[in-house]
Amino acid sequence: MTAHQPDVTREKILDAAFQEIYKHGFRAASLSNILAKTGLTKGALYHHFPDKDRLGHAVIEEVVYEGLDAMVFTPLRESDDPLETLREIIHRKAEKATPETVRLGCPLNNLMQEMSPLDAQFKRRLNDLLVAWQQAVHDALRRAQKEGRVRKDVDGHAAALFIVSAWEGCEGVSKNLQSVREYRLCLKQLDGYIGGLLA
Amino acid sequence: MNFDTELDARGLNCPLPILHAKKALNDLAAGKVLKVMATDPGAVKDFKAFAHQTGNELLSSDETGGEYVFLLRKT
Repeated sequence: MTAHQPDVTREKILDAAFQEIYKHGFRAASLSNILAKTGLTKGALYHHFPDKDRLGHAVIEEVVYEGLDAMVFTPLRESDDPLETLREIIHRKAEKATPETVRLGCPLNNLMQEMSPLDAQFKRRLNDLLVAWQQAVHDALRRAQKEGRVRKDVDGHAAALFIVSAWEGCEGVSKNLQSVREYRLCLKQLDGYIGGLLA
Repeated sequence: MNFDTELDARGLNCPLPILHAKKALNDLAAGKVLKVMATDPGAVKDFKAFAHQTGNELLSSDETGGEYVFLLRKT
C-alpha cells in the first residue's frame, strides 16, 4: 500500500478538484476547499501540482478526457454496432439526467465556455478533447457506413461535427433553462437525427 | 455477498465512480469481486452499461437510503 500512496494522494486531489471545478468553475474553484476536502496540506498539493493551472490541466486530461474515453470513446470503438451504441449512450444520458446534473451542466462544456476564450493552454487541451470526441463519432459512422448501416451519401466528418455540437448544445442550453424535460427533448431530437442517417 | 476489494465512491460525481472502478478492476485477478459504494444516482445506469461493455459481471445493484452498492466480478 505504501508504494501506491503518492498515486492515492494525487487521485484524491484530482477527485476533489474535479468536483470543485464542476460546481464553481475553474477561476472560482477554491484551493482551500480542495485542501479541506482531501485533508492535505498546501505543501502536499503543490508537490503534485505546482500551480492551479497545472491542476486544471490534469483534471481535463485525467478526469474529463478519461471519463469520456471510458463512457463514450471505448464503447464506440469496441462495439459491433457503433451507431446503436452511440444511440444507447445518448439515451442513457437522457434517462439519468436529474435537476442536479442539468443545473451543473457538462464539465467539458463548462470549461470550454469559461476558459477557452481566456487561456491558450486550456483552449488547446479542451480542443484536443473535442477533436477526439468528434473523431470517435466519425470512426463509428465510417464503420457503420462500411457495413451498410449508414447511408452512403452521409458526410461522416460533417455529421460527427454536428452530433458533438448538438450534444454539447443540449447540455449548455438545458443548463440555462434548468430543465430536465428540455434536455431530454433536445437529446431525443439528436437521436432522431442519428436515426435519419441510417441506410 | 462476499467481495475481495472495496471502493468507496460516495460523494463523487460521474465519471469518477466508473474511472475508479476501472482502475480497481485492473488490479484484480479474474474471478475476484469488487464492491463499489456510490451516491451518484446516475451510477446505476453507468455500472450496468460499464459491465456490459467491459464484459465484467454485475452481480448486484442495490440502493438503500440514497446509497448504492454494486458488486462486480472481474472476468
